[in-house]
Amino acid sequence: MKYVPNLIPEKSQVLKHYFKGNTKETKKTKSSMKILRWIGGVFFFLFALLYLKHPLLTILFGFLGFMILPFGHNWLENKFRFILTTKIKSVFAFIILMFSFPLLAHYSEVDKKEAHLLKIKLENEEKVKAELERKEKIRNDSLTYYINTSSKLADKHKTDEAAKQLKIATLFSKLPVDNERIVIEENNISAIKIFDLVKAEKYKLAIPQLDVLILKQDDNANLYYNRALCFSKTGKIKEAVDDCMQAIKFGDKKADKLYNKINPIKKRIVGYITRCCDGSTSGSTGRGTCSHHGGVCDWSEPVYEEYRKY
Amino acid sequence: MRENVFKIVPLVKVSFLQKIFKQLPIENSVIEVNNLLASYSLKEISNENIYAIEQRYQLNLEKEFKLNLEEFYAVYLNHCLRDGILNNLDIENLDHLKLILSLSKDSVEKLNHNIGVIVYRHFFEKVISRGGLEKKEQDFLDKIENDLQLPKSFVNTISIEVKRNFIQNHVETVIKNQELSPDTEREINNIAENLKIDLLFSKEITKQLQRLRLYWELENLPLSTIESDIVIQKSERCYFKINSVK
Repeated sequence: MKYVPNLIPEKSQVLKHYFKGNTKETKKTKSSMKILRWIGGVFFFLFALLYLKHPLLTILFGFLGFMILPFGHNWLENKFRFILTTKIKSVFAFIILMFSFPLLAHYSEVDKKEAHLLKIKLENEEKVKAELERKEKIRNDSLTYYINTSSKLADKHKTDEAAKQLKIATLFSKLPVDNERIVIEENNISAIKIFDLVKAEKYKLAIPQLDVLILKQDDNANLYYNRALCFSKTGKIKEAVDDCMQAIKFGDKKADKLYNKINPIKKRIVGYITRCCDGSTSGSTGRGTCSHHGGVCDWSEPVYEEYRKY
Repeated sequence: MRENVFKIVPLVKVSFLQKIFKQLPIENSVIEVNNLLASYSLKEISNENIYAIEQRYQLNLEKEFKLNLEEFYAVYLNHCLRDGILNNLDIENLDHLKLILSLSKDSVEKLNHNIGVIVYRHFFEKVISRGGLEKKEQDFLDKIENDLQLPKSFVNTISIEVKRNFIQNHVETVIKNQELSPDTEREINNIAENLKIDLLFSKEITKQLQRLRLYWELENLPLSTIESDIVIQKSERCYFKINSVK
């Protein structure tokens, strides 16, 4: 129940605990009406959320929802000090809806256009992507073809022709991975070229080229083996032994053989011992030596030590 | 209106939206009723005046501002009873007010009762302030009781409560003064007798009264001797005994 306070002068006031309240008491509405208002309000709020992309529509539908909600209705009445009658509310709602329909049609058209443009854009992007992929595939195929041709020629020891093919392949190289493939093939051709020199016993010519190649491929056992062979043939045994050891480290069996060949195991006498006849040894030298071991069989049996020169 | 029971209150300003929608602030309806009551004598205000206000504001005052209407009646009733007497003019005015404000019988009874209790208590306290209740005074209280049609049970409750409060206050004053002579005690008993009420105090107050009585006896009467448990000299007298002394 509404109550306007402070109408009665202070000295005349009675039953102060009973006569209290304010003018903003809300009207009691039927619960069914309240539920309908909530449903209506929420419906328009959802509509407003649906059109978040178009702020004007969001504001219009949001306001409509707010006005219909019991909370919004009371807030508007209290804030702007007027009675939001059903008539006023209906007129407002009608105006907003009338204003919204052309806007809805307009924005619907705009949305359609945007969707169409987006579709065309996506299709174009797809086409461009497909074309790029096609070109890339052709390029890659060409690159692979020339590298493979180069590799086959190199295997047939036609290194000059292989180099030519590889030069053509570089024209199709674009990515870092392509460059890596070409470098590997280049090294392969160089290696075959050098191995041919080694086979042709042109060791001195082969060594500097092997040096260069080892700098690029420091884990290639075959290169180390071939350089070791070249060193051994040119009398640089120490260098040959070092390369052999590197090659052995990387698991080259030929290098192992070469190592044993150029740096064989040798024996040398490091001292002499007294050998008793039962096979044991004695450290004494006077009478009674090996007396409990069947006597002395050899007074100065040599003691050997195995070693390699390098 | 009699002695400015009501005062003229300015109307609430019309808001912007109220101007647009040609609405009036509804609180102004009750303010206008108030201003009518403040400006004219009750008899000059008619049902038509109130109806006109309701029409102007498109509302039912009784439904929207029942509390304010009840307050107008209660304030006027309280004003009429300021001397404890409801004369015929007052009764006529109250009936007219009841009519123009369209107050229901239940509301009027409730207000009569609530205001009546306050007024009756006020005058009862005033009447017994001299410590007695004479025939003339009892008749005056009975008239208030009849005029306001107060239920007997309420009247009895108020009567007992007020009398008890009066005696209680009187005794508390005696305790505060720290002196309870037989005369004072007699005076308290006389008041209780005049007011026809039993003297019932809390344990604390009874204890304090006993102590004050003892103090007065010690101060004003010769000391009384008591029978001793132990053998004492013939010339000796026992005046004080205390237990648990080692």
